[in-house]
Amino acid sequence: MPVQDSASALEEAAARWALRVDAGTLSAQEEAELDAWTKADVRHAGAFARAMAASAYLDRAVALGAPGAAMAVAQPAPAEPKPGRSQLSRRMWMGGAAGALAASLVAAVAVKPWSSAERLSTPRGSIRRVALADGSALTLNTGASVEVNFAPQTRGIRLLAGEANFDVTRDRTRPFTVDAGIAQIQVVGTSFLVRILEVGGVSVTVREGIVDVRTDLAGVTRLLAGDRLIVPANGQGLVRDRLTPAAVDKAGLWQSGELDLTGMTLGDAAAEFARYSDRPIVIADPAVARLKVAGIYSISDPAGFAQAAADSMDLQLDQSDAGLRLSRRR
Amino acid sequence: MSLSRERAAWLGCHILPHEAALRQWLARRPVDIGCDIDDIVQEAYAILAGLERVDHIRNPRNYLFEVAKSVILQALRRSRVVTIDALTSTEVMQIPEEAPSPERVAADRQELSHVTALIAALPVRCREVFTLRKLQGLSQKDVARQLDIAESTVEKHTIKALALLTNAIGRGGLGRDAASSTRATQDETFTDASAGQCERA
Repeated sequence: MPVQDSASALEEAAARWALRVDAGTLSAQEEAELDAWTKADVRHAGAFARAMAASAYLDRAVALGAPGAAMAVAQPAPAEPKPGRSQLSRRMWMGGAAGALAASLVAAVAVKPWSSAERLSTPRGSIRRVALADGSALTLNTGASVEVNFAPQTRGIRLLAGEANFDVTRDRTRPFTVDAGIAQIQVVGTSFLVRILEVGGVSVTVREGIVDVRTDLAGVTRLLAGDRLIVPANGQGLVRDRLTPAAVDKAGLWQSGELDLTGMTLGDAAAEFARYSDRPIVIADPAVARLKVAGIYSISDPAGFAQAAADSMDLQLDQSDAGLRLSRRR
Repeated sequence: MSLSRERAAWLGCHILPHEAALRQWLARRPVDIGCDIDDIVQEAYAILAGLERVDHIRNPRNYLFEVAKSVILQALRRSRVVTIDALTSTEVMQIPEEAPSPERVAADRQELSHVTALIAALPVRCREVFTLRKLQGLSQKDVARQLDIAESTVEKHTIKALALLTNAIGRGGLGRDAASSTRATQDETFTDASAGQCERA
């Protein structure tokens, strides 16, 4: 990711103040100047707060061990331990750092390192992110179930149901494989989605890197970033297409709890929500089901979506425990 | 303005990582809301910096989005010409939900390697100075001595480094949000289809 080579004059002014405050070198007069500057314009105050936030963010990253310190300049002489502020403030931010570390440990112990197969699953409507022992991360979509089987030489996952995203840490000596029944996927280090389709079959979408998909009938198919392969239930007639970066993002949007319904019919959108909720959206009339919808919605809020659809398309929405019913207004 | 160290740390930990997502969300608004995204973002920071307390904020990301929304609504109310379009679209401005905390935890690790990459991508002099100043904790004077340059030059480079990194983190985004930062520009449907609105087939 390139660092933007520009910052506005306002952003630089804010950075200057933030650094001076941070170094604790402000004179009384400078403090008054800073005060006047931030009061002059809300954007000044905001830019200053933002620069302070970034400075704190970077300090926290350093405290957490961003390996930046290692790639320093031609190894300067070790700094004399600085009394006071700088170290004190670093320790202060360690609070958050230690918290985050503790939390990631909790997530990691969910999968014991060399144990035999461990089953992980998510109930309908929830999404779960799990850190694996090797540093890879697994995100399970609604109703997904996997078996994790790590050994010293191999990293194996079986996808038993649903959909999961894999962010795989590179390790050439330990191949990472996902067995989705009719298709087996092997990678070195990458990010990809595997979904067992409701209609049968498996889809594999590659976000980064290279993935090999093996099926009994078709042998090995190599996929690159942006490729999607659909393996039908009978294993015959693999469909491979290239997705735009936007479409790849869209496919993984569920990981942030969102659903992009743009371009779908109301009927398809209802089916999509049904993956996440026990409260179905029922569409009374096929003509209504064919109406096109657009927008990004929260996975956890089918009622909000139904209401928005009703409002914008002038439909009748009836809510009951059994579900959300959309029909033409009489 | 006095900004406590705690508040700066809170902003850095809980708000800055979501800035890119906020910008993306704002850029996705279908109608011209008549204000600049930079202005909205800065005003949101100013509001968050000025809050008396933040310990009641359970979901800082959503809070940030709400604050930005209120900034827009206020700007709309202030402006004399408000199109019906603008108003209805802000009414349905839904704040995208985020998965609960484990997502953040995994993102933390990604962020660390991103921070390293960002620092590595700084212009050479900026990087040297910044590394000595921030990562090794040397004083401005010590850095100047070490690199044999004027103290004012050290300050200049440090300022530039911080401003660039602020933008790289806040605009470019880190972690998961960054992966989708191209979406708004690449998927044209977002520019003409407003979130929350449906159209007849």
